[in-house]
Amino acid sequence: MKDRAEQLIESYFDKDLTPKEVAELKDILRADSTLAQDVVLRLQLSRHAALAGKHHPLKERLRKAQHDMPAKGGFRFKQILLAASLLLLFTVTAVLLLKHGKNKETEAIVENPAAPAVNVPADKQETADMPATQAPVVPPAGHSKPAAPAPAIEKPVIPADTLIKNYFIHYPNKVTLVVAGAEDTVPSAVNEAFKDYDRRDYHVAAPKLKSLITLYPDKYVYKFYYGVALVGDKQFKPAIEPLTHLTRFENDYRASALYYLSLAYIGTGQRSKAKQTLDAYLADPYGIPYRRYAEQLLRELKQ
Amino acid sequence: MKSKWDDLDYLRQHLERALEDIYRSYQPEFMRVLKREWPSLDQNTCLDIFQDAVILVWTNVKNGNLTHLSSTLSTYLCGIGKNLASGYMRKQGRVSYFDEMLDFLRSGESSAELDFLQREEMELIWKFIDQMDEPYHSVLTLTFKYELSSAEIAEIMNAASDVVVRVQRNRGVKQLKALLKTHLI
Repeated sequence: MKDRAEQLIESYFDKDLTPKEVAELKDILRADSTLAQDVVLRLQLSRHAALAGKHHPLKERLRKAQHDMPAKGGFRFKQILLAASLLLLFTVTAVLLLKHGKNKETEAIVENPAAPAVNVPADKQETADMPATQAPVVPPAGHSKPAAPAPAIEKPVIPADTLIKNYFIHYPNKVTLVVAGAEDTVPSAVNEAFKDYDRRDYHVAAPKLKSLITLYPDKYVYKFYYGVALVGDKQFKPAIEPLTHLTRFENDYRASALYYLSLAYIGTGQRSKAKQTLDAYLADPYGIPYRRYAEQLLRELKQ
Repeated sequence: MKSKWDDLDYLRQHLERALEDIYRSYQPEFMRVLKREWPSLDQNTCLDIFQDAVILVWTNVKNGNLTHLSSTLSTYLCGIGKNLASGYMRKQGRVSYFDEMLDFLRSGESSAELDFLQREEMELIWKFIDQMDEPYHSVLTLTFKYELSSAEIAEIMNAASDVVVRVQRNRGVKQLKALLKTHLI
């Protein structure tokens, strides 16, 4: 009897039982609580399989190896951006130093606090589809930027909708391109959702993107675009949850999620949280594309 | 392209440094294959599967279960990875095969009250499994993490047959229960 029960249990975990045999196993488990406890343990192991490997010494070594490896694959684009930015920074610095040398006699006259040049190419890459005239860094109408430190006069707080209008940037659609690159047909649900997203019809795109999250729970990229669409549609409160989730672990969209999350916080009136989130964006090594906007927005929030 | 690690004698001689070296050298190709077959797999899951595949290959060589390669190491590694990914996707893509039985046992239809362990306790149990000797660690991981059958596991681990795997799984669970008695009860 015991042998038969063990045989049935092993076959069950091989998914090799007929319905009749499953019924037989259930009868045995009804009568024998020790065996039932054994099966419970196995089933729970399967249920909590995400905990596997956390303490395995070889996995530990590989995790360290991974950590020491330069970023590859999905991060290559970011590496190129970083390298290009550094090269540009070097060039600009060299040019400025040369100019500085030429104008040494008159150097104390003017100082120009321009935005950091390091961000310019990255920014252009990410926002390539933005019209050249759209410049969120320009202060909103009626708000003049002082050339000297501000006097003790209290400035009016810039309204949330003005800030969002100035700083919300349509994040380019990279999804359908990626799927097509993998030589796979783009699922129609994905195409549909991104068609609306590309048209910047965020109100229509958001629920479609939400359904993609349900369809593909392991693809956090849809969660990111869902969050962006919600911010674009001024649904700030529901945007906080998906974007916050993406900021909690390492992924390709973490840094950008921080930027859009700060806008969602502004939209819900949580300005101190928005400032913290922008600080986190600026501290993130991948927080490059919107750095100029993030710095300017942070300055405006601090006023 | 031929790699020095395709020579299993060489691999055995340099086993210690082979783990990290294989991991670094074969990762791009492995990730490309996995992404091509299962585009919806995210980066972290792919990496997790790759790490498990490398550990299985390394353990197979160490324990003498892998004595010759009929292809390159890269092909062998990708083959294991595909099996793992396929098990993972099967598990994700549907209501788990085991859920129905778990519901039955939870419903209280069995004779005695059963202990359902808490998450913290399950964490401890997986820690035990991680520290178990081979082949028990691999057999239990492949069974419960990837829900592979004993025939599939036998193929990956180069075991003599699926019956051997069943016996190993049974012994592994018994070891686990003994450990639990000492630590949790």
